[in-house]
Amino acid sequence: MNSPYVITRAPLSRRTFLRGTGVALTLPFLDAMRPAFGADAGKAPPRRMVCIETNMGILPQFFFPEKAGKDYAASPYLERLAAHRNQMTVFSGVSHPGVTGAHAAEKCFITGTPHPERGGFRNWISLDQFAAERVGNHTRYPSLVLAMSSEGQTLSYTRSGAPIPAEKSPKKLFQKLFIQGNPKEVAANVEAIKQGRSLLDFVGDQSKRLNRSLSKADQVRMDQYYTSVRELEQRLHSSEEWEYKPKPVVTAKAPDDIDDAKEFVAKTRLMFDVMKLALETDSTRLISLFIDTVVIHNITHHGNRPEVLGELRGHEEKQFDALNGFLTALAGTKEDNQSLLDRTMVLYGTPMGSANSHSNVNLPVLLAGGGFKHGQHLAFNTTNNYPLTNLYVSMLQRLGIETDQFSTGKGTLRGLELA
Amino acid sequence: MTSPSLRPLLWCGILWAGLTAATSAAEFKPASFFASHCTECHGGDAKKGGLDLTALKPDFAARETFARWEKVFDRVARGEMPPKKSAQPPPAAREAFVKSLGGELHAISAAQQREAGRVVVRRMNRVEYEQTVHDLFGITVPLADLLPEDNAAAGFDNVSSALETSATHLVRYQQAADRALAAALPAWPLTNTVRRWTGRQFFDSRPKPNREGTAPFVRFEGDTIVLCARLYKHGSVTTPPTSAPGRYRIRASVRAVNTGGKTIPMLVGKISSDRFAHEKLQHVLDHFDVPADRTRVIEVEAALPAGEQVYLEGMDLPFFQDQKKQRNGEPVGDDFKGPGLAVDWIELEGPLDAGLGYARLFGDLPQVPSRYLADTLAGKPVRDDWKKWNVPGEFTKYPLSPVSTNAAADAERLLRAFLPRAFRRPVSEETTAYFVRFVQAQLAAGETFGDAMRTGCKAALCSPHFLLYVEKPGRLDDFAVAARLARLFWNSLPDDELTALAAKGELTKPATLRAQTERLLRDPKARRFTKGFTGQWLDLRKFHDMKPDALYVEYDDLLAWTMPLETTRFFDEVLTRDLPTSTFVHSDWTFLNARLAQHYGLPGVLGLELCRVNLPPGSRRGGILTHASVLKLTTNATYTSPVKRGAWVLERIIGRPPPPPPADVAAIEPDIRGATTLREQLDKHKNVPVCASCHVHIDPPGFALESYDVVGGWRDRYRVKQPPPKGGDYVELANYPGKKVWLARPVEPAGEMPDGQAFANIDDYKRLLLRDPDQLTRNLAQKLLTYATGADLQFADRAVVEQIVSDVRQHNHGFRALVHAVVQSPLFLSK
Repeated sequence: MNSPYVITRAPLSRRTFLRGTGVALTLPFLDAMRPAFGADAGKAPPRRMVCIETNMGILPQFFFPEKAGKDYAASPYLERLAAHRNQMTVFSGVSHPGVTGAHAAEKCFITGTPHPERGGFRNWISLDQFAAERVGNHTRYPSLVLAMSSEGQTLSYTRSGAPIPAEKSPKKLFQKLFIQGNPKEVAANVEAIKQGRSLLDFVGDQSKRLNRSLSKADQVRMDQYYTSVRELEQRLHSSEEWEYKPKPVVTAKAPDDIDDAKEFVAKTRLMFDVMKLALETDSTRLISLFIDTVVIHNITHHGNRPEVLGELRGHEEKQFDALNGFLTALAGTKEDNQSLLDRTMVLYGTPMGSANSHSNVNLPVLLAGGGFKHGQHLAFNTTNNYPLTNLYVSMLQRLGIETDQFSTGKGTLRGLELA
Repeated sequence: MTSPSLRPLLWCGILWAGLTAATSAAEFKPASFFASHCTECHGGDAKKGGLDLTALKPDFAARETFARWEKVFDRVARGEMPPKKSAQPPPAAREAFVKSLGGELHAISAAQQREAGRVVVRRMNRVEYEQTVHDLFGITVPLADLLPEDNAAAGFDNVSSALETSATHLVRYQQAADRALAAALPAWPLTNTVRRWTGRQFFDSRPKPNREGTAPFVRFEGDTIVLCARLYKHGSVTTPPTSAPGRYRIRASVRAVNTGGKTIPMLVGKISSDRFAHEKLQHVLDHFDVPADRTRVIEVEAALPAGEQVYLEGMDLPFFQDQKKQRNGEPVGDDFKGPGLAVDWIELEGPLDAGLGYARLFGDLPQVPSRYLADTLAGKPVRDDWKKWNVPGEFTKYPLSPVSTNAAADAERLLRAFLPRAFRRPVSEETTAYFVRFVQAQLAAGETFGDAMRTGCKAALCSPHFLLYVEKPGRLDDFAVAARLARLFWNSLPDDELTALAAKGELTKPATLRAQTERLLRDPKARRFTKGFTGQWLDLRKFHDMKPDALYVEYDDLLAWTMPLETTRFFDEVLTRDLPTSTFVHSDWTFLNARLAQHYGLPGVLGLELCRVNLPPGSRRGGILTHASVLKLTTNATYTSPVKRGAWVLERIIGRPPPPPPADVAAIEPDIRGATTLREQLDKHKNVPVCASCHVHIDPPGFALESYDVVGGWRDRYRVKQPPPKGGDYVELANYPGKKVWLARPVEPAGEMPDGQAFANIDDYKRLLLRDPDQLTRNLAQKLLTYATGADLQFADRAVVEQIVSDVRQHNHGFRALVHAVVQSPLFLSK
């Protein structure tokens, strides 16, 4: 908890600082705050993680490079990310063991839970939530769960397998992160939180009383209910504290949401913009983003027809351009003597190795930034895939979490070293 | 499927074995049976399919071991193992083994059920939450969208094992309660009003630019407006806007003019809908056929948000831009002889449940704007005639607040009335006192009476007593049965009649139970049962998920609207008339309107309203397997897959779900350039034994259904986007003159059943399915029991299911009789 970049350190709170100087802080927030916490220089830098899934596939023939290692020739899609070649690792021959079921796999991209297509399937906790449980308390928002979609999809799942509803509106996200309520609104929010907590006390108590009269099997289920109550209480406690702290001020204006579902790349870019601001202001360090490209679903079933492949390639190239924009923005933001990209892992991939055939092996995936020895194509066995969940173990360790296991991953990813 | 004659014997045997299970525990010795007939493949070194029967211990207490034994039981009992080509055990030995193993499994399962019940304490899913809160307060605001999606188990999203709770749920339940209470307790006085305006009054109400835009395309006959063209939503005739969200009734008096006696199809829709909702046809409320020879009053009920308007659109009329061109901009005069839709008046009534929410929480306590609350409590007169305030006007600053001169007493009185209704049973003194204290604490902290009660109500809506169906093991009490009945048929809470019968302890008397089931099924709210059950049993919920490829030029909004309606109307008909369960496989009738009849190539059906139509011989339709809706949603909207459709038929209709595919099967890269057929590509299924064991079941229905394309149309040849390398023809679609497509290879629908019986096409296949009506009923019984009880079927339930099948068989396998049998069964009436 001793990070100098977090505004929870009350004595030197931003509010005091603001009052003292009478100046509204603008970006870059992080560097401006540094002098106040100069005493803490030398401690571990904050680490971030962004997990992005584009759900309807990435054409493998334009993604995977032929050669392995550092000298691979960039494929057409990777060419769009050429500026960041040394800051990223491309994977081939990876997938999630046992995760099948075509589209059903899209909910397992960062959980790795096998067999989502089977009846009675219950997802495991997702990578970002696992991290949030351990390191999410440094920021106002332990994590942000986002989606570029018109439906209710999400990448993030709680420990009990419940999907966490995602924020779909970049505008609303911006408002949530940066629009400061006036003192009356803040007071009302605090009041609402207090009320919420007292209501939870009441509800938790009722569930305890109810528990006494239940059968043993039912008591186990009630226990889960009561655990949820306690978890929420902790969250509310933390929320209440944050209400007193002013939100970061940014010079950017709130974006206007794009209504046309067909403009999915433009919508993705908007979301990327707000995500970058969120990371930059340390509003959160963990983000998941579900990109739903259902508007082009029909052409992902190209049947190898050249004209359809061409159309699909055009869309996917634009998606990679948008990703490139995001990585460039992160790379161009300074924090101490590094860039934000150096400290932010960006995972980008898809749950289907071939959307045309709905296959879930040989997934196109890349990892950019975060502080690894990148600049290579790690090629694993395409007939006997390497578990992608091992990469997630590496990512958790990069966040400073001591674990050598996550989901079906039983160790770190072979060939990927920390920088 | 095994020969029908063997099965009753087997099951009777198991029932009997189950009854004597207590003594037979020590007698189950599978070793010799296994050694003689099984372990050559499933033991020692072989271990085919990963099964080693020498290592499988009769440790039935462990869940996974129990499941394996259950599989062994099923395979042997059905004659699937040993495989056909191997030596078979003598019938007596097989029967003895099955009886003895069945007895064990039944005894263990029954003991577990006696102790803990079948259903672990179940929380409401989000559909039930929304519907229950809606009915509790008479509101319609969306609530389910706030709650996380529910997981499904055994094909339904109301199965307890999948419904877990998380902190996210609790946050969202609080938000949902806030939203519900805001709608239930409006800030300004809301009454159920009727507003009618004539055609002319509607026209005059519009702003000048709109009137000028519409005027060239309409004319008047007295106060009746006659629309002579198809106008955009706002240009067509609309109701006045709604004042608040709620349930409304829309009526209109309409007539078709100058159509030579033909009806005009008319769409009734909601004006404000975003593009994505439009794609899923969520703006459409209904379609009507407007007669030419007389006036007709149409009526529609709908849940509408605030500020919404409903419009009428004459569909066969020329589009206004086309008419403008045709007439060179000349407006239609009074003597215009072209066809038109005459609207005498249009009426909006509602919100139909105005005041119900307030009454439920505050009874008949008066309300005044918050500004005057203190004065009113002090007995001072209020001079302002606030009832005449504009709406919303000052009410936004000074919302209505209930007046209580004795807050403590009123709180207790009102909570005593509210809590048993919300919790669906009488509430203990302890719990009531607890809530009263909670509300009193709010009062003591300075809250107004209204706010304190609101907070108490919110606490009730987040309480486990509300969100969970708490049941004690064993036979359920009447209140729990009432809750199950209301949930099953209405997705909601019991009404006053059910509650009264439960209070008297009379509900579970068989005759009363039957009468109440009939009453609930006949109530309009039972459409929620149709929607919830067919939405999941037949996957109709997924119907609008994907739009068919542009290759299917015949697919349009009207077809998309009609297709799922055929299926729900069909289901309702089978249920209402107690038709045999085999009707779902084949019928000689269905529900059609002109659009769907055109799609099926059936002449003589007029209008847009669906009606029951007899199918001529050779129609290739009949039963839900040939419904365009089912045929479309069992594809990925671009091409058909016999495996996907086959698995669907096995799971949903036959009730024998196939096991999952092996991990190392490569997905097929479909080549839809038309050069190779899917049959050729799937050939491996027949020729490789490890594939054949499952695909001998999965493929036949899939092949039979290959005669229907992605949008459920009949095809003899596959449609392709481009001319194939050879053998293609550019041909007009049979049912859509003028629309031409490229056709390539012929469809091969022939196949073979697992028992070797061949079929040439879908009609043959259906006939073969109909050989086992018991299995069709058994499958529906299983699905209904899972949906009705919120738990998947366990081994001990099989005996009960057999009893149900046997009872329903006496009623000619009637579907309504099946529903009654489910409600009267011990599985529904016990935890």
